[in-house]
Amino acid sequence: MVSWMKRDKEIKRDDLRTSSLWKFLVIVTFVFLVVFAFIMSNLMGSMKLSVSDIIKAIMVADGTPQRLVIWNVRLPRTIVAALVGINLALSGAILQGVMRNPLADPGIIGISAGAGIAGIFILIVLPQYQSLVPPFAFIGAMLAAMMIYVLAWKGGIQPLRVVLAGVAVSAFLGAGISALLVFFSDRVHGALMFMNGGLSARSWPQVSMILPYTVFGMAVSFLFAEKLNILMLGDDTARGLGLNVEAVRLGFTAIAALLAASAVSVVGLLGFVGLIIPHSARLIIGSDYKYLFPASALLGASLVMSSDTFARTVFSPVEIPVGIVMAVCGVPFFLYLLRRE
Amino acid sequence: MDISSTLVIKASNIVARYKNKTVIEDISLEIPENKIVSIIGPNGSGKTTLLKVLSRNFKPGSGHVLLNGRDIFTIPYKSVAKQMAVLSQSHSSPGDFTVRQLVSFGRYAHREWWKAMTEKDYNIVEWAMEVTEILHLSNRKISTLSGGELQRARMAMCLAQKPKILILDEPTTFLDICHQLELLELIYSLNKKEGITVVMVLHDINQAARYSDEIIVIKDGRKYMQGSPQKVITSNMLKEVFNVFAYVSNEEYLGCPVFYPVKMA
Repeated sequence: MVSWMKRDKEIKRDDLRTSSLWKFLVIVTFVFLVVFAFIMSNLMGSMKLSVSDIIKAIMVADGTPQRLVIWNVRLPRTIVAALVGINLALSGAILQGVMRNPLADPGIIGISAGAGIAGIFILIVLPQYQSLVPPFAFIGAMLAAMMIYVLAWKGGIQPLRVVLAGVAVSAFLGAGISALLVFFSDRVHGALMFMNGGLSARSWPQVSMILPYTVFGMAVSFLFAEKLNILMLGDDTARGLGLNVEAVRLGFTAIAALLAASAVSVVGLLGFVGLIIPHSARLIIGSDYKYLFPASALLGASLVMSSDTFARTVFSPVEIPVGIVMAVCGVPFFLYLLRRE
Repeated sequence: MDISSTLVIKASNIVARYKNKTVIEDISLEIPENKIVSIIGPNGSGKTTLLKVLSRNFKPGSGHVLLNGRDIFTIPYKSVAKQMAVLSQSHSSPGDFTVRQLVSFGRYAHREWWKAMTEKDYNIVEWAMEVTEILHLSNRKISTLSGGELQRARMAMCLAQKPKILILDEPTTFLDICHQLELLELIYSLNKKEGITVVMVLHDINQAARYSDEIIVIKDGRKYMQGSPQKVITSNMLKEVFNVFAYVSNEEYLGCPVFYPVKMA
């Protein structure tokens, strides 16, 4: 009797969790989180400003110092942070579904290693061409992802083969990165910032570099969320329901690669966003990709914005790479996840 | 009239391999419309692979599968899914999907990607849950279901596809005897009431004999025999295919043969 009542109670609570009202409230909360992180990021820094200063600085193009700081520095940097967060979180959410592996993140399809070796090569060997880092890192990331595709391809992509090929290629490229660092040990400092990820001096050019991918990635993932839901039922069942499993897997993996590569090429190797954000979102809102995608995007944006605010203000004037801040938040959370399983 | 109009599925000279191992060697078969056809055979005889080939889940090395006269591997996935639903053996799903959500996935093939579920879709989902008697479970999470409930929910998902053909791979595995009968009765009534053609792999030969119009016996990747239960279920077949000496009797009141295994051959 008692156990029956307990079960009934659990089911009721589950009902609340799965109800669309709960999901709607979570999304609304996340939107507030984004707005809050956005305002804080613009507010905080060595120049003290008020919210009305910010609004005025964004709206009115006068030459005041407030306008210069907000418009040229804080606002674009905040936007880059938000876009990077969205891209990495969506990429991770997609890959965890496509690979049906909770540990999948953009690193698994070679994005980090590919962008890393290309970016670090430029920074160390050709430091005079520093402006070439984003395009080369992007190309490196996409090449590594394609290499893993080709290695894992056998009449279709099988998740486990991709994961294993990803580990192998990443290890190989990682060895290349280490070799570069050893041979040019006097120039390592320039590469450190890139390896940990940082947003300092990122402005409007970087916004326009990432924005197209963010818009495209969000549009595709929100429109085709149902396909990913069906893919989670297993290949045979998904095919039986009318899903072109191979095409969906290939398409989504390509989008995940583009999203992550565009982010990583601009801010360096930001770990963990792609892993912890989709997981947290899943724990809060459930596995339905129709909700999981927007939730991940919002949570990713707010995490990177607030981590960056933290990274540039806490030891001001020294700025720590945002990647370090996020790893400090990310590792405990990840361990918590492991304990939970 | 073309003969293929009454044959929903026609497979000819199917050969299927995994790597170097040939699992199916030259099988040809025909599935007539509105019938229940069971596939039986010992473990490793190629039943599941055959079912995968028939449901376009496995591309055969050679041979053709025709669905209503068209090569099934040239028909778009969605078009196949509108005609044929597949209940595979393995199931994976995020545990927090609700039963209603799972069943709604059955409407995927009938919807364009930019369209939401229509009134008609909702009605069909409701109907599928009613037929499988899981309406009261509709808001439950998948992870809280028992084996029997889950199997009925997956069945409802297949029915929501409004298929003309149901392909079932050992639908009764993991179910107790009562739930086994319940599911088989459901399949039987769907066949009679809705005219759905059923192709299924069954482990229990007596159940296959009881519920099938035709039985296909597979041995070592070849078709050993196809015919009515009376014709197929014989002590000779059981000895040659399954390696057992068995006592077979034709039970008048059941209208089908029943066998009892006596000892290994």
